[in-house]
Amino acid sequence: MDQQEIRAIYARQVDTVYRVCYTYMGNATDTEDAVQDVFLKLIRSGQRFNDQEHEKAWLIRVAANHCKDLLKAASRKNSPLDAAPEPAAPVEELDTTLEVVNSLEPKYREVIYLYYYEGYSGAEIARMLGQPASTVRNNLHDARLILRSKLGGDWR
Amino acid sequence: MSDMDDRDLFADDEPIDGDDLITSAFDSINPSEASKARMLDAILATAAEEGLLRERPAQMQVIEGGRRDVTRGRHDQRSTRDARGGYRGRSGRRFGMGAGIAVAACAVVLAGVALFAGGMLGGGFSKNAGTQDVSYEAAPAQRSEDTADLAVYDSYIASPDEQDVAAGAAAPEADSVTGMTNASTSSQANPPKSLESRITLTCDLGEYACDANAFVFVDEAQVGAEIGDGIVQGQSCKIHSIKGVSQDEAVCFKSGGAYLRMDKVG
Repeated sequence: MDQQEIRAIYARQVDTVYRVCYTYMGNATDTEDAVQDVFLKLIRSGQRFNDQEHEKAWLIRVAANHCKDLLKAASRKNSPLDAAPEPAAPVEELDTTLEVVNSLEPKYREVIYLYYYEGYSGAEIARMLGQPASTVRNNLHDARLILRSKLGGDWR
Repeated sequence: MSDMDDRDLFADDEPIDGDDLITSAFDSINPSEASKARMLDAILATAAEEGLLRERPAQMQVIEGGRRDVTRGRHDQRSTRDARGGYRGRSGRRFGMGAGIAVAACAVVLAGVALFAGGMLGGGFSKNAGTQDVSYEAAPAQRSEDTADLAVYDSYIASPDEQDVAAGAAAPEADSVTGMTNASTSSQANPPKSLESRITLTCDLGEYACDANAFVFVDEAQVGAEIGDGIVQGQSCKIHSIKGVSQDEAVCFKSGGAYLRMDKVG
C-alpha cells in the first residue's frame, strides 16, 4: 500500500473509524490512539477491498475488535483511582444524548451506533461484529430500553 | 424470525423517534482537522519506520536537467522526452510529437536514399532487402540469456542519477539479407522497479543506424525516443508504463535504420 492509497482511505473513513472507536473508548485521547492502531492494522494487513462499502465494513470490524481488546487489556491492569495520572486532554463537553449513550455498556453502544447512525441492518451488524444475530437483536432491544429510561421524554 | 436483513426487525418495539437524537449525538463526534492531520502523520511515520510503505512506481516525467550519458558515464545536455510526448532539445526548447514524426519521416527517407545509393555504388542490392528496410516488421520474441551482458538502460526513470548503467554493447551480428544487425536483448540486469507493466524496447540497430539526433519510434502516435537518449545502439532500453501502448500494439517500426521491438517484461 503506498502513501497515496493510505491517504485516500484515511480521508474516506477516518470519521467513521473515529466514531466507532469513540463509542468504545469514550474520550478523545484514547480514541486517537485507537484510530491510529486501526489504520496501521490496515496497512500491515495489505488488505484489498472490493469497494468502499467493503472497506468501511472491514475498518468498522477491526476498529470494534481493537477497541474491545484495548478495553479488556485496560480492565486487566486496573489500578487504584488515586494512582491514575491526570487526564492528558481536557474533558470534552458532550451532547446530552451522547453522554447517555456513552454511559451504556460497550456492547450496547456499538449496536446503537451501527444500527442508528451507520444504518446497518441487524444481519450486517452481526456479521461485522462476529456475533449471532440474536445477540445483536437482544443488545439493541436492551439498549433501547435503557435509552428510553434515561432520556425520558426525548426518546419515545 | 429467520434473518435480520431489514430494519423492520425491531418494529415490534416502540417507534424509533430517538433515531434523530442518536444521529445528531453521533454527529457531534468528529475529530478536528488538526487531530486528523496529527493522526495521519503518526500513522504514516510509523508505517514508514516499519517499512510498510510501498513506493509508487516512477512515472514518466519531464527531465529538465542533464542526463547521464550511458556510453561515456558523464552528464550532458541531451534532448529528452517530456511528459507530453514531445522532446526537449539541448537548448531546452520543446519539440512536439509532430516534430518527432517529421524527423522520423526524414530519417526514413534519408535511410532509403543512403541505402539506394549504397546499393548502386556497391553494384546493386537485393530488392528484397530494400523493401524490408523501410517497412514495419514484427520481430520474433527474443529474450536471450546470452545477451544479458548488454546494458539495460532505464530511459525514463525519475532521476537520471539513479541510473547505474553498465556500458558496453555486444558486437551485432549482421543480417545476411538486409545488412542490418540484430542485437536484440531484453536483459534483466536491472530488475523492474515497480509492479506495473514495463515495456522493453529492444533496439536492433544496424549499419544504417540513426544518427545521434534521429528519433526512433515504437508507435508513432505514442512514444518516441532518441538514439543516445535511452536508445543505445545494440542495447536494450526500458521505458516505463507507456500510456496507451500495450504489448499487443508492439509493432516494430524501422526508422532511419533503427528497428525496435517492445516486450512486456513485468
